[in-house]
Amino acid sequence: MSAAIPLLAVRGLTVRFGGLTALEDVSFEVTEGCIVGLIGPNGAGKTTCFNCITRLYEPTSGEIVFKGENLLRRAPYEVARSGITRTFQNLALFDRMSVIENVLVGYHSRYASGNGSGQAEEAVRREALRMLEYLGIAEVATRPAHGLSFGTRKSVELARALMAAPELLLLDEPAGGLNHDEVAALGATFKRICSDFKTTILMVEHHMRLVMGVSDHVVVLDSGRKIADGTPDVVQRNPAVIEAYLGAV
Amino acid sequence: MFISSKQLIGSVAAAFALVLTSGATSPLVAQSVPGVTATEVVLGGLHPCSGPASAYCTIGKGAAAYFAYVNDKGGVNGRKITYKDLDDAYSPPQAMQLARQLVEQDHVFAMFNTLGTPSNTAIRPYLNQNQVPQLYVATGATTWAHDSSQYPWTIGWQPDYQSEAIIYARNLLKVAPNAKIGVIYQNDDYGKDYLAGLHKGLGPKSSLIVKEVSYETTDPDVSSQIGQLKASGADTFFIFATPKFALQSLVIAAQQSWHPTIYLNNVSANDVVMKGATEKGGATATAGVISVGYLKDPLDPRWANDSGLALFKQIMAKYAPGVDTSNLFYMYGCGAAYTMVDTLQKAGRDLTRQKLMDAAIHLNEANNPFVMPGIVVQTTPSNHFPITQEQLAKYDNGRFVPFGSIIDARPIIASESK
Amino acid sequence: MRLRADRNLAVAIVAIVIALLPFIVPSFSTFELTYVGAYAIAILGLIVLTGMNGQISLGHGAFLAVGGYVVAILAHRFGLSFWLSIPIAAIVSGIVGIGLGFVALRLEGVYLALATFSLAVATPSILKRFGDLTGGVMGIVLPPVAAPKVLAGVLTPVQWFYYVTWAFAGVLFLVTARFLGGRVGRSLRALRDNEIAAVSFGVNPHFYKTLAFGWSAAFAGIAGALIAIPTAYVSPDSYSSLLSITLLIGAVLGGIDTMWGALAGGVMIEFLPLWVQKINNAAPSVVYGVALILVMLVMPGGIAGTLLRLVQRRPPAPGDAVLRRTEPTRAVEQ
Repeated sequence: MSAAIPLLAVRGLTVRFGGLTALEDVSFEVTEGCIVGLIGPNGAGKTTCFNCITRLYEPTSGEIVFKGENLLRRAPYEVARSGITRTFQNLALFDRMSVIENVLVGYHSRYASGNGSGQAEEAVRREALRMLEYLGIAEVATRPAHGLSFGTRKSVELARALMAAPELLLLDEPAGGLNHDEVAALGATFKRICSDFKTTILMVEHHMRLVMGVSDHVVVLDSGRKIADGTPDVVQRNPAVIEAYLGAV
Repeated sequence: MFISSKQLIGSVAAAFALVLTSGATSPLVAQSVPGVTATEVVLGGLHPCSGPASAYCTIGKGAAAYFAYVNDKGGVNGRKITYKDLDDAYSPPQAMQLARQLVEQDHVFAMFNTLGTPSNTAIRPYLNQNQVPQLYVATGATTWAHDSSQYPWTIGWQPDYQSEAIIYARNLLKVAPNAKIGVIYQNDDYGKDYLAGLHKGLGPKSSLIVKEVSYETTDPDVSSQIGQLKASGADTFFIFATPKFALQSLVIAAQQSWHPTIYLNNVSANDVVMKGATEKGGATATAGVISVGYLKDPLDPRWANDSGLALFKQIMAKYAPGVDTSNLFYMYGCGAAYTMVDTLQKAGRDLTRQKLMDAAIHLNEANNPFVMPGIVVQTTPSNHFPITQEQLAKYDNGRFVPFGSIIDARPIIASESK
Repeated sequence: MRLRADRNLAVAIVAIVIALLPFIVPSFSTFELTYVGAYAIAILGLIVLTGMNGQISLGHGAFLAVGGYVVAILAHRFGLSFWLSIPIAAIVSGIVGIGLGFVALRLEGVYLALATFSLAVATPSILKRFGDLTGGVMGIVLPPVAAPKVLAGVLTPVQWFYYVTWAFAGVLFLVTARFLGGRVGRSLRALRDNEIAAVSFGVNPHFYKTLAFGWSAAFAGIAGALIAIPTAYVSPDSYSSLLSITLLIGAVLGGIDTMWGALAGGVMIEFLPLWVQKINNAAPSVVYGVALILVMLVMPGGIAGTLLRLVQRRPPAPGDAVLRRTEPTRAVEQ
């Protein structure tokens, strides 16, 4: 079922804040089951693009289609139920809640209706604990989120996002703030998540080696425009990409 | 992260022990009459010492000072008075709880001089049901007398709002029988009590009123109301308002160059209002404003050599040292306390609540040293308004100067009773 | 699991103590403890709204007024029994709360505090303005409470209404615990901590924030009714802006992050003014203020929060050590 219907299609996406154009006519597609990297120099509009997909920003024009449905008709809080969750570039945990509660909020969009009866609640808690174990942070389950180290907090965010069983997982700079060894391990983790949770990953990342090593497909933005789109090999040889990155360096 | 059961039980128990000890009673020996022993009689009272009405706290202090003075002179019928005066913050639910505490825990013999219409209304059914005297309440509503058949254990002290308005009407009919009257009143029971009194006082001459306007306490100001009154051609202006709106009325009338004869209700005829209005509206705004009084104003030079004022100053100096004795509220407290002591005296050595109530409705007190001479604190079984006489006063050069004789509203107000 | 067992034990002990108190303490203390129950219900609502959902209300006295007046008017005009009028008070107050909740969606932090406080300030004037319905400044006198005939010989009216109040409190506490412990409570707290993140995980902010306001207002309405009935009187002066501030003080003092805080807060706002008067009758408000500051300094989590922290003190070093060891591993995992 390769690329028959794309999981996510962004078409002609334009975002202007007052006089400033953050995104200009950007189009790309994300195919189910693969990891897509969204890269570009600082200020290229990557996070703006994420915020449009999760409906935090209202695009000036363009459309975002997810599983054949126009996402722009959805309210921000309905996006998770559609099957998209995310992590945040600057961590956005529920600081005064415990780690396990943070992860349980991730389950919110999966409740059918009502306040899940006692038994269901127990099952959900067990699932949340398994998720923490999967990411190796079960020890901190009952600790409040605010006291944890940066790396642990990133893992909690990931656990929370996975708890929603998303079909599309948006990762905003997952390697940011991590050291060399930690980054090296990330690629394998993402591939494992992809297959274990049957989820598709769209990732904004600066770390070139990570992106090129793990992505099936890469989209390159520069100054709000898409300048390249293709497999890592193709993109890396694209003169416009080289120009953008050299220019930025 | 584990709670120790023992610790939890311990803390819960401790919390409740706190609650319990707070309510622990001193075991009182059963007695036939609550609050009365051979050497002591216990009275309870409520005055707001916190919250919006805390200015009235001083009334309770004035009364307490007078009781302390009486105690030092041997008490009443050999008994010392213990006055348990508590702060209800002008809140009816709090008044209700404190009244129960005073009656059930402190076993007061009677309640004396609780302040405010809301608090007294809240506790009146409870006190009457338990037959606890609720004496000389500090409010001017007419209900304390008018509803005495339903609540026989309750009685007021100060002149009521209707009596005051009646006194204005009688003065006006005498000096200006063809006046054209304009009235502004607060649109609630307080303002309406005054208005009703004015109508009663004018009687058949109520037609002299050419315009009545009201305001709500939520109104930003009363400019439009004053404009209407001026336009009506009124030459006499009655202000039945609370201090804030009384001040506005005086200032706005002056600003609109309207200079009628002004009658201002006693509640608002105080220093703050008069000085403020003079400051903002000029001397013409307040010159000649007429109000009433019934207590000896400590600032009035008339009383410079008065024995009652000397006694007041002596009592305050000894039992409430350091307070501002020019504050009329202390005088009020002493005056009401004098009547209370008088009532206890008349109720006799063999004190019961019923006897106290009987004494309270047979008052004939012509010698209260804290009220103006000529005013008789007087009740009968069919007339529960202790003070109905007042003297008019005219604002002149920074203070109210009394004039004319004492005027009595009793013939009219008493016929209303029952 | 042990935590839950201990909590159940504590709840059981508190319930038994509450049930026995009227037979131990004198009648007027039972009367005062009735108010503790009512205040605890109001504070519980504030804990839901402010503690759990982060919306500050300095206007909850207005909802107490709605509850009190609904009961008073229904009793005065239609002779309705309070069994019927208390639920009506809850519904009316809850609807007003939901209305205010819609307004609150556009306001945050100090602006919401100011808006709600202006409601508290306006409440007495509003009550006086509609004098035909509310009885104006003179208020409405309610009929005295009487125990049902079956219990007439067993319980005094004071004891009877004490049990009525605490039965309401018990049910409302259990319902609240049920909802706060699950998805609803998590959603409220998630919105409080980080609204954008909460929304990204499907939490509907309009729904939950309005729900919190309505829920909280309904509780305040019930509390207002349970205060008005034993007081047997409502008047505009019963609902000064001071009441709203007192309720928030009670919530913070008791502990705004835990339901136990409602119990501790109810005890505090009922008894602190009385204790303070015993200490110093001359300037009670000064002593009250100083007492408040002292408690806040010594117990920043409120009374219940501090007690809970004491009894829940974690076993120290071992857990932390395990944690430190696992952190590098975790990084590799990621």
